[in-house]
Amino acid sequence: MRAEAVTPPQPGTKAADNDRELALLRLVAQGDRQAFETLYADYYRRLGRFLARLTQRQELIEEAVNDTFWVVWQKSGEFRGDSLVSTWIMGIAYRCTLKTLRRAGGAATEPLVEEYEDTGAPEVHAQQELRDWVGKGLRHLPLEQRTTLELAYYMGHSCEEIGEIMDCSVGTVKARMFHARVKLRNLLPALGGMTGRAKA
Amino acid sequence: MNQSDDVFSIHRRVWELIPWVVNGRASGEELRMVEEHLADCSDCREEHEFQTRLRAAMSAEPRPDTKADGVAAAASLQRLWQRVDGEEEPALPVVRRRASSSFARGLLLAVLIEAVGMVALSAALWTRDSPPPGAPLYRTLSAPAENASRATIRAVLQPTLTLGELQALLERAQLQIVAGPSDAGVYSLAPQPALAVASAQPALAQLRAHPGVRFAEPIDAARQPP
Repeated sequence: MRAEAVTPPQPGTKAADNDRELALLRLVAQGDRQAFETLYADYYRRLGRFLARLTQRQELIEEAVNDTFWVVWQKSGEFRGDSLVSTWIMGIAYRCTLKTLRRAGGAATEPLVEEYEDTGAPEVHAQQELRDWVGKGLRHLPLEQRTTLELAYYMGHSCEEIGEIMDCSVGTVKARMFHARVKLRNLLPALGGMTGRAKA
Repeated sequence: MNQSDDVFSIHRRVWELIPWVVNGRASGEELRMVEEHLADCSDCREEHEFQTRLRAAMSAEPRPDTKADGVAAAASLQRLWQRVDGEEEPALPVVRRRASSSFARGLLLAVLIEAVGMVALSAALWTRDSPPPGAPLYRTLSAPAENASRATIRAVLQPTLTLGELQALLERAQLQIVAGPSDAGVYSLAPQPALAVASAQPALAQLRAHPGVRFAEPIDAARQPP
């Protein structure tokens, strides 16, 4: 993470999360299975949800999660701390996912339609409708643009971190973000002009 | 550069920064620049609102974590450990690949000894379980249920326990698996057939002493196994 090397991490949870994850990863490098299981539990749901935007096939999601953590287990000793642990893990996840999706063929890159818990509350319905609607818009974006948005808005990564994760320049990240935004403005015009169509 | 060029260049820069302000990753200086510009530019304000709503919709969790999620994560982790344990021995990880060739020979020898042991164990189990002459050589689908009711111990194993270790432990404690693992990972264990009336206590003590067993408890005779 080039930018963070110059500017200290923003105050808040990012730096604290990284200290914790770094401590766990150091233990994993020594073969500590309990530390590995803690890290796995931290990422399992988040990674699964992130991958659900890239493929609708649950078995491929699980395969990619376990491929990712298999590499984490194998390579933890090689992590030098040049980036955030989360950036390193997400980079592995991205490569593993691309490999899994290539093997599974083109039809595998449709995003998963999430199932919602229906609590009967109107605000939950509204939220659900909004998410459905945004999900449909995202489906029209190419995989790289969808991944860029997801890394920024769901995982909370910076532009530089996304460049490292997707192994591309910051300029490419900006270009993908630009095209994704323009396309979504056209696909979801109502999102800009009101407080959510679902609330109407 | 005249003033309108300046304004346009700031507008472009701000427009580009909006997603990183929205996700909280812009620097303090970038944030100040965006905030100042938003006060005067309705286009960028609208874009900022759009991106804020988009992020809210994308980052909201569809539902809270359930018990089923925990079970799925545990099962998935167990499959990963099986893979790690299965692959680590033959294809040693990079750091250990520099081990001396005598270590590799030792490993090969250990694998061979284990293979011979497994053949011997299979032979012993085969002899023990041989049906009396004239008895049918098949089991009906209802047989396992009958078997399961013989269970005297419930145990949950560590994901790190290998098949070889499990076999050795069961042999030592003179137990066999009659049911499981259940959804919660519980195995039902029973004394080997020749020892059907033996007390569960010594076997239970052996299981509890083994680091590969998370917990083991006797099954109340009045209750059925899971």
